[in-house]
Amino acid sequence: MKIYSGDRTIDGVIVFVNQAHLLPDTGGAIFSDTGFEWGYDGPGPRQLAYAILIDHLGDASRAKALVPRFVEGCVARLDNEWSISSADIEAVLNSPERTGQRA
Amino acid sequence: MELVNTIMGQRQRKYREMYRERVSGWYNGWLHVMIIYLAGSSALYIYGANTVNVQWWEWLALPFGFISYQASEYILHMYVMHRPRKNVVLRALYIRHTLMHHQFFTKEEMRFADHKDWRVTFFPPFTMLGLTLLSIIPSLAAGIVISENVGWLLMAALTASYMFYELIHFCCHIDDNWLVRNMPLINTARRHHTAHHDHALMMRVNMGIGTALPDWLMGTSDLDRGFWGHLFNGYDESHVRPGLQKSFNAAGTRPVPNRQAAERN
Repeated sequence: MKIYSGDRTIDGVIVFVNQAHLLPDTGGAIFSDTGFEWGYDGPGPRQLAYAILIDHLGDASRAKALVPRFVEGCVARLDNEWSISSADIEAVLNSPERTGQRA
Repeated sequence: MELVNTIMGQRQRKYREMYRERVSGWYNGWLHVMIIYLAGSSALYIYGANTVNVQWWEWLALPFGFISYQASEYILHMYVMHRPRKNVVLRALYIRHTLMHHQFFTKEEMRFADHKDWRVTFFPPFTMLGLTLLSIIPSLAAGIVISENVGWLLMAALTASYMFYELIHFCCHIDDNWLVRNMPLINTARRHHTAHHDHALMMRVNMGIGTALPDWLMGTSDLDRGFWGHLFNGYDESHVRPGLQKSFNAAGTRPVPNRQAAERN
């Protein structure tokens, strides 16, 4: 099982997968070329979702298709510093689609 | 120097220590503020001295300019200061704000320890010059198309609105006291801005600092209130939208409602 974690530091946003850096251009910068972000829905969060899903699924096209669902269910809700596991990712991908309202 | 009576966590404490280590030793918050307000006051004097026989309708340039600045500040905050951009200047604003200001101050500890911490809150002194240059374009246009007085008054309103913004933001990060707790607009801004510093919400809600009204208008407020409620809410937490504070709960993949919302429900 992998653990993904992220933090906003004075030197920039950092994301790890099992202690190793997860890079924003994992799978190509197709959603954003400005790096990762989270806590809302936008290019940075979508790029983060894409990079995590590629690492988790090992399938770029499936990862790309699942980005909106994973952003809505997880990335847009992540706190300032966060940690999620492979099991958490699976739970989000297998959960019913949300239709809840967010600011 | 650090606050003694505080509930801040270790992460915030370490961040503040690190930030202070990197701030130039010669930085003086009082000098920083003096430059901003001396420059602003001088500019306001010059703009005012150039108006002649102002007609009643020309005064409308003041509220128009004031509101325009506050709206611009909301847009800048929402779409630049909390969103990484490719442009070097815009990215610097994001780093300074999301990666510095919001790590230095959290909803648990919003206060400065001393004047050296003001650096992480006030815009740099050259901002006034930049704002003045930006203000010249619409003001010159208004001066040519409408009247010279409107042009000067628009310049004055934009400058004053920036100074107002800095004052309000400063008041959001000082210790609680009778004055800020009871001063209309300031007490509303303090609660509104503290909620914005909640890490679970900061990327999405309460982007207006000088006033909460842009958030009310754009639906990005944490309050479920109308115009007047947003203007004079004060410290009241009873109108906070339930279920707003939803951060990812790794254990159950379900949103975690904040305690107040849970208690209400």
